[in-house]
Amino acid sequence: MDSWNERLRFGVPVLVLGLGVVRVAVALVRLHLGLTEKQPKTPAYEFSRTTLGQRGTIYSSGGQPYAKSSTVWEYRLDALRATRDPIQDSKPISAKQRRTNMELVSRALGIPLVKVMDAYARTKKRYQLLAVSDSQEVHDLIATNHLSEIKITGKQKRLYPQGRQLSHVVGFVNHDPANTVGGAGIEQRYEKYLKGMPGQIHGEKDASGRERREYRDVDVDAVPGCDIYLTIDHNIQYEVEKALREGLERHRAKAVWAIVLSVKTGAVLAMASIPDYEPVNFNDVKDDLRKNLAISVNYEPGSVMKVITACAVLNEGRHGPESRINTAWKDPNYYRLPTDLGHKWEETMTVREAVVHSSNIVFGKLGYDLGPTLLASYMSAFGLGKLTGIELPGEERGILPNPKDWDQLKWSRAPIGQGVSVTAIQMAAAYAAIGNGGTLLRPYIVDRIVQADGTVVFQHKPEVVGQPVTPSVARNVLDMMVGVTQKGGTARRAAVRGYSVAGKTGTAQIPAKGTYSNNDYNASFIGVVPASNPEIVVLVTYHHPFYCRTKKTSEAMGVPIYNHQGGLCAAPTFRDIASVVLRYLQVAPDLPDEVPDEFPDEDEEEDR
Amino acid sequence: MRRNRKIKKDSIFRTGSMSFAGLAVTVFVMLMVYWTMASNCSSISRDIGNLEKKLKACEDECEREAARWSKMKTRDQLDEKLSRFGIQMGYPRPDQVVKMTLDGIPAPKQLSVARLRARNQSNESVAMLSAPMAPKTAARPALPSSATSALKIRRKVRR
Repeated sequence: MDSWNERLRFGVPVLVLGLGVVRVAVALVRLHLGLTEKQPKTPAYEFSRTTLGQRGTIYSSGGQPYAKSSTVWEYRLDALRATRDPIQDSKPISAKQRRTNMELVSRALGIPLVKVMDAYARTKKRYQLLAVSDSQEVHDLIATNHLSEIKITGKQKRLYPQGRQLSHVVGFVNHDPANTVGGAGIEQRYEKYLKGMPGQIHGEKDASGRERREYRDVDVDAVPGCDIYLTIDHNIQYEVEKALREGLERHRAKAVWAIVLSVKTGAVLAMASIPDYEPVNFNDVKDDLRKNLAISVNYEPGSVMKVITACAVLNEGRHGPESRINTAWKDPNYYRLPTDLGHKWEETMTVREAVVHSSNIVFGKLGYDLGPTLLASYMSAFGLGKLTGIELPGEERGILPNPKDWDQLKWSRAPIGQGVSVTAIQMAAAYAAIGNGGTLLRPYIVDRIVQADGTVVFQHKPEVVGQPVTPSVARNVLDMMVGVTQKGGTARRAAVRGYSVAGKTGTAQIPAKGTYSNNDYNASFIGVVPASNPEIVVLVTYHHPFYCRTKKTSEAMGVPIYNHQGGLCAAPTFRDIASVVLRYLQVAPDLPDEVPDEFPDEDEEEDR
Repeated sequence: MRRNRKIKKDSIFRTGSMSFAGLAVTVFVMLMVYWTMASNCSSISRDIGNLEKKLKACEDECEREAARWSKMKTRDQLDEKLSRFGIQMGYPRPDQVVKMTLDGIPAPKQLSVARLRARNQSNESVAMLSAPMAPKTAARPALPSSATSALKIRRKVRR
C-alpha cells in the first residue's frame, strides 16, 4: 500500500511534468520545422505604408538634367511647443532660451529674425512652414540642437536645375509630393514613364511606435521612374535663348520663338519660346505664358510660304527656275493680285528672281495658275494642316482650308502665305524636307527612354512621312533660296560667314477685326544651312515687333528702320544663332572665309 | 529466497530519471537556442532597419548633391565665372586665322596679308609659321619638293 502511495505521490507529478515537457518539445520541433501557423497580428500595432518611387529625370542629349527629383527638408514650427522645455516637457522655456532658439533658426534657415519672431508669437497656429531646404548643413544644425519646436520632414521635390531654360518643353509638375502629376510638356506627356511604381510595406510596430522589422511580411520596393533623354542640346538651347532674349529687347517684340532642327534626322536640337517662366513657380504666371509658341500658335506665315509654292510649281513642271513671268499687277487673267508695295520691276522676272525679291505678284500668279486643289495638296504633302506628331502636348495643326472653300481671292493669297495658318514646327519640318532632298521627316524631341537599371525601353529612329517633291526639285529650290541671303536679296543680314545660307523671309500681317492690321506683323526667317550640304534648319519668328517705317521713329525708339520686317528683324537673329550652332556642331564651312557684304543703309527700300 | 526487487525498482527509476533528465536538458537547450536566435533576430532586424535608413539617407544625399552640382554647371553659371575671371573665349579675328593645305603649307600670300592687317589694326603679332622675317637680301628657305610642285600648279591655275 505504502509503495503505491509513494508511486502515486512521485509518479503523478512526474507524469504531469513529463507531459508538459513533451508538449513544449513538440511545439519546438514544429516551430523548428516551420509547421506552425502564422500568429494573427494585433490590429493596434499593425501598420501599412506606401513608398513612392523616385520620379524619373529629364535629360538633354548630353546628359544635363532639366528636371530632377530630390529629397528636401521642410522645416515647420510648432509655436505652441516652443513655449515648453524640450527636456522637461511641462516646464515653460525661458525667454532667453527662446531668443537663442529664434536666432539659431533665423541664422540656419536664412529667414529674417523679425519673421521668425512673428512666427513664434503665433502660438495658435501649429506647424507653420518656415522654409524648404536641401542643405545637409542646415538639417544637421537644426537637428543637433534639439529644437523640439521645429519639425523636420523629408519630402520629394521636383527641381529644375537649368531654371527657365527649355521651360515650355520640359513643363512642370503640381506641388503635391504625395501625388506628383505632370502638368505640361514632357512632364505631362510622359507621365506614365516618369512616375514609376509605388512600393508597399506591411508590418507591425511596438508600443513606442517603432517598427518591428522582423515582423514585416510585405516588403515591395518602389520602382523608380524611367529617365527621358531629349534630342535637345543644352548648349545650342542656351545660345538660342540668349539670342532670342536679346532680340526681343532689341526689336521690342511681344514674343519670339525659334526652332533648330536637324535636316537629316528630324531631331529638334533647340526649341525656345520667349517670354518663358520658371517651372517651379508655374502658378505665378498666366496660362498664356506657359504656352509653347513653337507648336501651339497658329499664325499666317507670309512669304515663307512662297518656297512651298515654288516647290509645287517646279515639281509639276509648270515652270523652271529661269522661267520668266510677267510682273504686271493689273492683269485681266487674274483676280485682284497682291501688290509688291510699289516696287518697280522689269516687265518680266524669273522664278529665281521672284524668290530672291519675294515678289507677291509673281507668286500670286504662279499659285493662281496651279489652282487651289493642287496647291493645297502640296501644302498638305509638306505637313501643313496636320499634326506633326511631335511628342509634346498642346500641338496645333494649323488651318489649311478645304480647297473647295477657297474664294477667288485666296487663289492668289494662299501662295504668299495669307489665308492659311501654320505652326512653327510645321514650317521648320517643311524646310528641312527641302534640305533633305525632298524627303519629309517627322520631327521628334525624345531620343530615348531608359529605365533605372539602364534598360532602354524606347529608342527613337528617324521616320519618313513622305516625299512631297523630287530631289532635283528640292535642290533647285534650295539654290534659288541662296540668293535671298546675297546682294539683292531680302535677307542679306542672314548671311553667315563661311557658310552658304538658303532661306526665306516672311513678313505677315496679323488678322484683326475681320481684316489685316497695318501695324502688327509676324516677322520670320527660315534658313537651311549650309546650302551645299544641309545640316540644320533654323526658324525664327517675332510676334508683334515694333512697327517702324521712318528714320525719326527708328532713332526715337532705338530700333532699326523697317524693324517689323523679317529681313531686318528675324534674319539677324538667325545669323547670330546659326553662326554659333554651325561651329559648335563642327560643320565644315562651304564658302571662303570672307566677311559678308556690308549691310545696306537703313533708309534703303524696305524688304519683304 | 525472494529476489531483490528493490534493485530492479531502483534501476527502473534510475533509467527513467536519466531519460527524463536527458529530455529535460534537451528541451532546455533547445529553448535557450531559440531564445538566443529570437534575440539575434530582433537585434538583426533593428540593424537592418537602421541600415535601410542609412542607405536611404545616403541615396537622398547623393541625389541632392547631383542636383546641386547640376545647378552649378548651368551655362549661366559657367558664363558668369568665365567673364568674372576674364577667360571667356571668342572667335579669332581674320588676321589671326591662317589657312593651310593638307600638305601643311600656308595658303599663298596669306601671311603677308595677315601681317599687313595686323600692322594696320593692332600691335599684336600674327602667328608665324616659319622663322621671323629674314632680310630682303637673304634667300627664302626651300620648300619640300611636293609642296613646291603644288604651289606651281596653283600659280598656273591662277594665271
